Amino acid sequence: MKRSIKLTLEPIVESSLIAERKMSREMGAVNYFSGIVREGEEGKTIKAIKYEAFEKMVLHQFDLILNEIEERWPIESIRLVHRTGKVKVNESSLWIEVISPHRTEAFEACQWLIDEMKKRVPIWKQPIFTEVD
Amino acid sequence: MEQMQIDIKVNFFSYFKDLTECESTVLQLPQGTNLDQALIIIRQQYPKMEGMERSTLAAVDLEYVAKNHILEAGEEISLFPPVQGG
Repeated sequence: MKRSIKLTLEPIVESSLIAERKMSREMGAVNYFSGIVREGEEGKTIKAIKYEAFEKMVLHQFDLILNEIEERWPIESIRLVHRTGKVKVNESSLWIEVISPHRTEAFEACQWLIDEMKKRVPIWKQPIFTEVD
Repeated sequence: MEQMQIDIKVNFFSYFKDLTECESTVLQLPQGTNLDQALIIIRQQYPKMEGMERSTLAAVDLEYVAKNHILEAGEEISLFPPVQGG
């Protein structure tokens, strides 16, 4: 299974990522997920979220999760980008692409990846309530 | 016979840095200390960490390990609150 996991301080440009898609002719499903920063957090209006990551462990834990996905589903490739630093409302904080032969495994693997990320991958967020640059 | 001591670096993440007022520290621990014993020592050194057991995740190097994991020289403990990716 091909894989790409990236952490970046830069905005996620979804159109560029999609344009870089590589898939073999046997694949029939591409599942995309984009997590967007909402305006409301903990019942309050926010301007942005600041993400902190223990980067080496993030990459290692994602690797372990992808190893498990490779065991469970026939996935050809997964690409994932997670922002760190300040992410403004309406910007993407997380982008995932899953490519597989059929839609069932693409949806299931993507959901499972996110669920496991939220249990194990050491990233934390802090809402910012005042104006940001 | 004097028990050998090992140096273990401890890293704090997220608001644990505020509670401990530091990003990392180095503990000198008796050889054979396990993670659970190290956590007790850490809470004694940083009283604001007392009572945080249920909301503390601990990793050794890049892995989540059992509380009875025996620490080895050169390993690092990282302490942080529940993760919030995405």
